[in-house]
Parts: sequence; structure tokens; C-alpha cells
Amino acid sequence: MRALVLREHGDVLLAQELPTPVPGPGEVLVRVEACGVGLTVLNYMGGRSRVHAEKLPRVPGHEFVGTVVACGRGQEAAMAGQRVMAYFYLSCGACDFCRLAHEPLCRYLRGQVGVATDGGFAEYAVLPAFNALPVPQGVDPVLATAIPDAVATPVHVCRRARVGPQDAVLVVGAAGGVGIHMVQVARVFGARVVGVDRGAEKLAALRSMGLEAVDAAEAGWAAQAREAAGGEVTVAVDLVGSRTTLEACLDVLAPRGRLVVLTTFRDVTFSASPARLVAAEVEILGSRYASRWEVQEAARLVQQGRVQPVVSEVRPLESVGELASKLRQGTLLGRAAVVP
Amino acid sequence: MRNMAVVQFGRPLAPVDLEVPRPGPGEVLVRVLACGVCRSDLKIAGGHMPFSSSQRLPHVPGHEVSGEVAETGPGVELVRGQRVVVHNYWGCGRCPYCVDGQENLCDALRGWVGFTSPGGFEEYLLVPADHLLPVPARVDPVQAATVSCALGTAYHAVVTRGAVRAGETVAVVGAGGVGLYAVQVARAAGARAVAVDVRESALEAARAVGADAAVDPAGAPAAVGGLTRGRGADVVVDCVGNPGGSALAVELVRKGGRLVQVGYVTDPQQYPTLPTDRVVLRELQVVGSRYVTRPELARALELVASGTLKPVVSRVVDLEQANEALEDVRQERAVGRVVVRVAQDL
Repeated sequence: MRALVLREHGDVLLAQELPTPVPGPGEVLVRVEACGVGLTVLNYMGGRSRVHAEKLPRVPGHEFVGTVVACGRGQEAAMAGQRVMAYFYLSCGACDFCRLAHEPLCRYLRGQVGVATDGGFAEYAVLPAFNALPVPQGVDPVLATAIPDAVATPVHVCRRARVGPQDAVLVVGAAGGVGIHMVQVARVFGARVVGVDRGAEKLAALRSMGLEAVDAAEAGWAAQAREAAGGEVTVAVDLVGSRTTLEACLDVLAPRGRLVVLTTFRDVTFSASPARLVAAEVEILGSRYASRWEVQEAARLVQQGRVQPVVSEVRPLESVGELASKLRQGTLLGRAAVVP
Repeated sequence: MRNMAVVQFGRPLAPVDLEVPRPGPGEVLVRVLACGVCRSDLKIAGGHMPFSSSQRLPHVPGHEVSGEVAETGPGVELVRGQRVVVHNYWGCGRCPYCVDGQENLCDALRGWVGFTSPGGFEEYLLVPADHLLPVPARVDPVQAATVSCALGTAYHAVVTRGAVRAGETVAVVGAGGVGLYAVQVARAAGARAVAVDVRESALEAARAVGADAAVDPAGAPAAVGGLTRGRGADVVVDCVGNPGGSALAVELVRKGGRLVQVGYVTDPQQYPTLPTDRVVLRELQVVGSRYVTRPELARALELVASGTLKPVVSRVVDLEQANEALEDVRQERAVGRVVVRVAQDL
């Protein structure tokens, strides 16, 4: 099969012929139809994973969708022919966190798809049956690449931060891969949403979705966002995750507001004034990926048309490098995908 | 192997011919040491469960299994002799409920110990390895036979569904096997607990395990009112589920409080009525609570092992006398749990 192989950390992938993998017991072989490209995969490729360093050589790519074409010996045989999407975390499925549907917090996490095992920048990939979640009928496979991470992560954020019709949600990095879905999901949960991003094209895209959009290039963007939110921001979701944005988000929150932190950049820390946390009873919530149930919930939202995946670039497999540079410049709207 | 089975609904249990099964991949053959007896067993033996009309007889009941690992199938890494309790709901692991961490609501249970699949009134039981929870050696096997149903059900009802918090007052209607644990779990959560029962023996047991008050139904409103300055209980755990119990629960709960339904009747003639005006005008929450998930049961077991929760066993009978144990439950003679001793060397 054709595959892209990471030989050393960085954005360079080598196109190679590899033997088609064989599924073992409890695993399925997926013929890849499309695989998403976002900042997360670039972070892993760059060797910047906080948790599990990538072993090389490796076929990266975790946001893939495809059809089950072969199964190991076991219950997973029932999945033959099914269109599936990859659940990102290689969770054990048996510890207390897994059994309570908090799989990202698995006590025996074996790493991630495309990091600890070969992923979807290839014609075929093997997945544990546990990680092969069904794609609902009628959902386009290329658009479906956005579901297991870019749509599911916002579903978890909204559940974790208890987002509801009483909330005004500020999303920083609102036109990026996760952001463009975060704003949609927060609306599904009933919230009023304000998006912050930079670049005329991205701001126009947010406005075309009927959102209040604020330009992050302007000095007073946080105050502007608060105005646009009707005077109070009750939930801030920071997808940029720099010291500046995190502190601005914390400052702008209303009493009982919640700051949701999702980024894991090394060496980034930020100040939180205890006095402010006490005085306004502000909460800081970490949010890590999503449960398998939340991924399936995300798929239902897409199937029902309540969330529209934004995959702005669809390219051949070999174009990951070009997409990477666009991602790094911050000019990519929503997600990109490659098709083998 | 020795056993006691439902041969005909409404008739006493009787031994039938059964072979010791062999464990397949992922399975464990459990040597049953002891098995608790529950009111549900009366409904199962009487043919009064919703599934009874399709149940194949003979059926071996018993769903509170305390045992030890006797033999393991391929792929199982458990040590022979490891003491265990059996988690009764063998979820499919694939339906939306299992995937969302609510295996107690599984759409397609692979097994339901003692209810629709074989239970603990027999010497050996096949169990998927991942539905066994290890029991510390210091918990006696008879006491462990009150864990997987009575304790698990009480823990889920009080901690998860009732979301009881420190400083709250919890009324437990029906101080039987589940109720006596519900009282203790509520106390462990920092709440005050009032036990309500018609039987003085049950009330004595409730006092012995730490109930702040233990009263008969007539005295319950005054007892709850006394502890709450007349407000009522924050949470009522109804372990009875008949019209009398339900009416009392509605009377005891405060405005905005939670009614956690644990006990139930299966005869429509016996269904309680719900006073909709009180539910609306007092903003009552009615919360059903069914069994328990494995992570919760593991936590509940720790509380027994640490001595925080005390199992209450009023009588132990041999397997061959299982009908007497059922009769104790039917006649309301049981205080806490009656336990069937299945292993002769126990």
C-alpha cells in the first residue's frame, strides 16, 4: 500500500510502499477513504507530544474514516463492511475511567492512533475494534474526518463546562479546525457565541455563519468580545492557548464564569490571580479530548445537519506537507483532509 | 453439582441435574461460597418478573454471589483461589448506554445473573472475567454475599442518583437489605439518615449501623421534621415501591428534594399514584435507580473492606434449605440479608 512515513520529527513525510497491515485478534483493517490534517497531528509529528513521544518511523494521521475490509478473530467480525471513524486514544476499555466513559483519562493509556500505532496517512490502517466507531448513514466520508476530533472535542467541552442557554461563550481561535466546530456545537447547546480569530477571510467566514466575530489583531479584542456577547462572557474556550490569550480570557469572565483549557503546549504557563478566582468564583477547567459516546454524539449532530463540518481543503495523500505550512501560517479555514 | 432451582413458578425450589460447566475464552469458573437472598428472588421464583413469561425452567436463581476463582479459561489472568464477588449485569459493551458508562442500562445484556441467566444457588458459576471484582481477604465470604446487590444498589442510589451531599438529610423508606446499606452510605457521605420501617427488628438494626433516627411510618414525619426544622428530607430513598411507601416518601421530601426510587412492584394493581400537584408545585425530582456499575461497586467494596460500612446478616442457611431463606424474606423475618451457604466447607 501507499503510505506517508515520518522518519524524523518535523513536517517532512516520505511517500513509501509498505506491506498492507494484518489485523490481529480484537482489531480491524480499515481501507482509508480520507484522513484529516490539523495542528494536533503536526504537533505529534514535530515530537512535541507531552504524553507519549512518537516512535519512528511511523505513519501519522489519526482523523481517518474508512471501511472495515478485514477483521481479526473475535467479536469484531460483525464490523465487516461498516464505515468507521478512528477514536484517537488507545484506551484500555477496562479501568474505572474507561467504564465510566472517561476514556481519555484511561489509567493504562497506550498512547494515540497515529502516534503509538500507524495511522491514516495510508491506503490501509489497523485499528482496535474499540477504536473503530460507526459513521452514521448519509454522512460524507471526507466531512466525517472532522467528527472524531474537531467536532467531538467541542461536545466534551460543552458537557464539561455545563454550557446551556444561560451562557455566552467566547471562542478564541474560532475559525480553526476545532474552533469552527466549537462555535457550532456551543450554539447547539443553546449558548450565545462570540468568535475571535484573525485574518479577513476567517472573520468573514465566521460572520457568514451568523456569528459575532472579533479581530484578534486589535488590542482591545477581549473587551470587544465581551461587548459583542451582550456584556458578559460566562464561558471562555481558548483554542490558541498562549499566555496572552489565556490571561485575557480569565480576565474577561463574568462571575461564576468558566475558562476551558484544551492546549498542551510545552513551557506555556499563565497567571491566575487567586483573589480573582475567589472574588468572582471563576472556574478553570481542563478538557481532554472526548469519550467514545461523545464522538458518536458528535456524529449524530453532523448527521442531523445541526453541525456542518468545515473541511476547506481536500487534497491527494501526498499533499500533507503543503497543508502543514498553511496550517502553521494560520491561514487554513477549519480542517483539511487528504484522500489516498 | 449441588443446586436449587426454580422448577415451576410458585413452587418451592428443588435440585435438578446440572453438570459443572467449563470456562471458555475470557471466562472464569467461580466456586460459589455464599449467595445473598433478595426480595427479587421471590418475584423470580413466583414468576412475577416482566421477563417471567419467556423464562426457561428450570432456572437457578441467586444474584448476590460471593465466591472464589476455581478455573480460568484462555486469556484470563486471575489466580485460582482469588476471592471475588460477581457483578450481575453483563453489558454488551457496544450499545449507547454501555459506551456512555451506564452499563446498568445496557440494551442487550449478555447475562443477568440469577435473573435471566444462571445464578448463585449452585456450586459453580461461569462468569466473564471482567465481571468479577476482587474481595480483600479480611471481608468474610458470608458478608461478601451482601455486596453485589444490596450494597451496590444502595451505593448507586445514594451517591450517584441521589447525589447526596454532606449536611443533607436522607430518609430511607424500608430498612431491609438495601435500606440498611443506604442508611450507612448516606452517613458515609456526611448526611444524616432516618430509617423508616414497620418492623421494630429492622429499626433496631438501623440504629445499630448508625441511623440518626429509626422510626415507624407514623413517626417518620415528626422525626424528619425534627432533624430539618420542619423542611423535610433533602433526599428520600424509597426501597419499598408500594403505594404506602411511595405516599410516605412524597410526604417526607422537602420542596425541591429528590425521590430516589429503588424498590418496585411488578403488579399494575399495586402501582403507587403520583400526586402531580405536589411534584410540580414543590418541584420534586423523581429519580429511578437501577443496580450499579462496576467502578461504583469497586468503590463500595472498599468501604466495606475499610470497615466504614457494616454488612448485616441475620441468618445463614445451607443451600438445601434455600426455601427457608426465601420464606424468611417473604415473611419479613429477615433483618438485613439472609445468606445461603453454598460451599459445604465454608
